[in-house]
Amino acid sequence: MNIYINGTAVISAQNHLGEEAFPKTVHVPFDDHFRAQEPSYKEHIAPNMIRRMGRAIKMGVSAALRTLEDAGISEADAVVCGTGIGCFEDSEKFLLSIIDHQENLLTPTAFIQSTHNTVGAQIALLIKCHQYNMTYVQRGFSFESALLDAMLLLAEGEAKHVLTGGIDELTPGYLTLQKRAGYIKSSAYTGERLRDDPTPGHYLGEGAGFFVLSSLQTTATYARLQAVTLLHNPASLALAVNAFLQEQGLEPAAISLVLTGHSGDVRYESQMQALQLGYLNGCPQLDFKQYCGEYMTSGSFALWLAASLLKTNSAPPALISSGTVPTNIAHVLIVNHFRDDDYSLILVSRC
Amino acid sequence: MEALIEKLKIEIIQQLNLEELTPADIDPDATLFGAGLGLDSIDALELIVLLEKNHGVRIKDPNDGKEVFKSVRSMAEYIKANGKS
Repeated sequence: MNIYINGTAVISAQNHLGEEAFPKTVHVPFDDHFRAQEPSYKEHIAPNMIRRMGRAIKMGVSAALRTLEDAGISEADAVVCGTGIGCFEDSEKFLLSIIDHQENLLTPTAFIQSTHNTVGAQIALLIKCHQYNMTYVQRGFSFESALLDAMLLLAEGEAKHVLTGGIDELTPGYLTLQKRAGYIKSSAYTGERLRDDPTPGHYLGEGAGFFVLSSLQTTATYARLQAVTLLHNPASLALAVNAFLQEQGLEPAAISLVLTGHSGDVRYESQMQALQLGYLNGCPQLDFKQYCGEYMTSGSFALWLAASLLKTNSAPPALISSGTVPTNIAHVLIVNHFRDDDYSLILVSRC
Repeated sequence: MEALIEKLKIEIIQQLNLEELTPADIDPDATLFGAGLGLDSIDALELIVLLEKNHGVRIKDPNDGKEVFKSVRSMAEYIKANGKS
């Protein structure tokens, strides 16, 4: 069964408010993290609702509503989300309030909004979708698990249009904790290639990427979502990619572009480097985390990028990390990982 | 009383994240719930906490709530009558 991406919208460190798939000017944060460039939320969310929403909720709801607009539909048969850390800002507020007020005088708003499924719930309330609603919290597999669930719903005929996406937010508290744990680079990002970085740590990012996945192709269709697979601690990433492509009847030479999830942390990059220099060496490659940073649902940014490049059938030369700039984009392979544990492969093809 | 009303307006804007409003936009005699500021039951809980946290005032009888939270002025009057500030 064919599954189509019929609409998409993203919020990331890049400015996506223009008409083009990827902004002409690449935004490089002069800091140790990629903060999302947030749009004006008032266009899609009523002010009396915005005031209660944390950033993750605002980003997710806004991206989801713009995705529906992009697909030319107002309703979905299901809402399936993925998030690594959920609504962290509200969780922090609530927990700090417990400490500050010695477990007394707790206000309800932050608690209500702090659960991981708040984004999916708010989207469903706004679009009046009273059907299937699921949120996956599976570390580096969160977004990809949501994708798989959406694909199953479509394949089983349970839904015709599934609104699915990934959301994660950065907060000062989370950044501090990640720094203490040694996950963050000690220097500011200056635009260097993450795949060549010989130091430990990565640059955290955040954002929301949403998609309308449908069983029907329309004039709005971006691309075909051909296959998704999750690999926990694969013995050999190259062998896994080979098997994945063989299942789809493809050789590496048929892949127009590989979106690689190099995080820039030398401790976790051996499998990715072996793949990049070995099995997929002949394919043009684009390191997408140079534009969005590292977060557990960064795969949603990569899928947005893949769908956009396939729809326009062009890739900005400045974005390509290695190989020749593809002139005809037929198949895009996303190879992502989170700290060398959670690997995912997504194949997206032109219709 | 007027100083307390102005202080309460600022606190309400902060506590309820009424980013669109300034203290001048809030009529001290307008109803807080329904047609006035358009607050709801979750906001009511936030206001109960605000009174206790910022002014040391606890609403002992739940039946008083309707009158206390009628407007900013009624909140100020209740604080004046029952609070420390």
